[in-house]
Amino acid sequence: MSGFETIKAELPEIHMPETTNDVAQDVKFGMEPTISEEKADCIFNELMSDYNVQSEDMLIKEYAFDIVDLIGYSEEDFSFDDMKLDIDVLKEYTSLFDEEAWESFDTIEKINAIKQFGEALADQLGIVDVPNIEVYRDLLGRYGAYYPDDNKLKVNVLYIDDAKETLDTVAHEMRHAYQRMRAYNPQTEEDYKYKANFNEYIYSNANFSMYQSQYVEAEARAFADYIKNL
Amino acid sequence: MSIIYDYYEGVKLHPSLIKICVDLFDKHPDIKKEFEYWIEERKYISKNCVEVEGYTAESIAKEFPVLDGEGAFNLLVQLRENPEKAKKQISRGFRVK
Repeated sequence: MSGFETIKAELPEIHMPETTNDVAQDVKFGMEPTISEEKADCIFNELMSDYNVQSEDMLIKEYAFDIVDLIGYSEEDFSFDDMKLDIDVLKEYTSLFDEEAWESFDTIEKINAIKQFGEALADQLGIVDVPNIEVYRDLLGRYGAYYPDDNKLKVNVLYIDDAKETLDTVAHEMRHAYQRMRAYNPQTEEDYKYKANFNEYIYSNANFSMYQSQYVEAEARAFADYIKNL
Repeated sequence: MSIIYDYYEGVKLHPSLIKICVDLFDKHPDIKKEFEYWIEERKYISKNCVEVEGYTAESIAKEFPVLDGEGAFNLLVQLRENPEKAKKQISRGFRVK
């Protein structure tokens, strides 16, 4: 076995496009390869054809959504079964909101439980800049809110004796924090929906049914339902 | 434009959505009339008012304070157009979060 054959045997088989054969022949006979620009382009395109497909897949597509397309949603339109959450970890914290445990807590302990659960949920959602969780007093009937400008998640203290409602509020608002994070640097179609919806957010006093059925609100409610039913 | 159009414009609703809302009330002139009265007077009509599935705009506002105003009339329309869905929503409650 000659040295050349040994090396050839050890190399993996490489499929060369047909158009490269002429060039290979030139090299084999010790000649300078002569190749036209047109032929070079043809060879390059053949060699890169597979890569072109891959790079198109890797391109980040930008999506544009009209606010009209982002209303009319309800909880039933969303599923979180594919989410990679550590259910056991979350259950540890959601169990703090079991009626019996909750009733035994004083207000300070309830606020601590809200913070612990909120921080654990933020971690599970991959929220890098974890919101500051606070309680506040709101006489206008709002249960809670997420304020993106100062990254604060607020829970209305007037309702914290209701364990399930409080759990729902924290999960709902933390989902808004997640949506905002994704909308800030959109990568997926869903992220672009978040972004478009926040750009044209519908407030409850403008039209309540549209407020409720807009994408980010319906999705946050569905997520809270999912967490409550773990 | 119209009283209802101006109302939605005043609360900064997106123009595309305003058209949807105006068209919706145009389909229900009796509810539209009461809504226009509320916009101008900030009062509900209590005599011979529209009743849908046992609800009036005023009773909705009393039972669900977050719907006081536009929300009450909007729910009346929903109760008329899709009573099952509207009742399901009523049973879930109306929360602002």
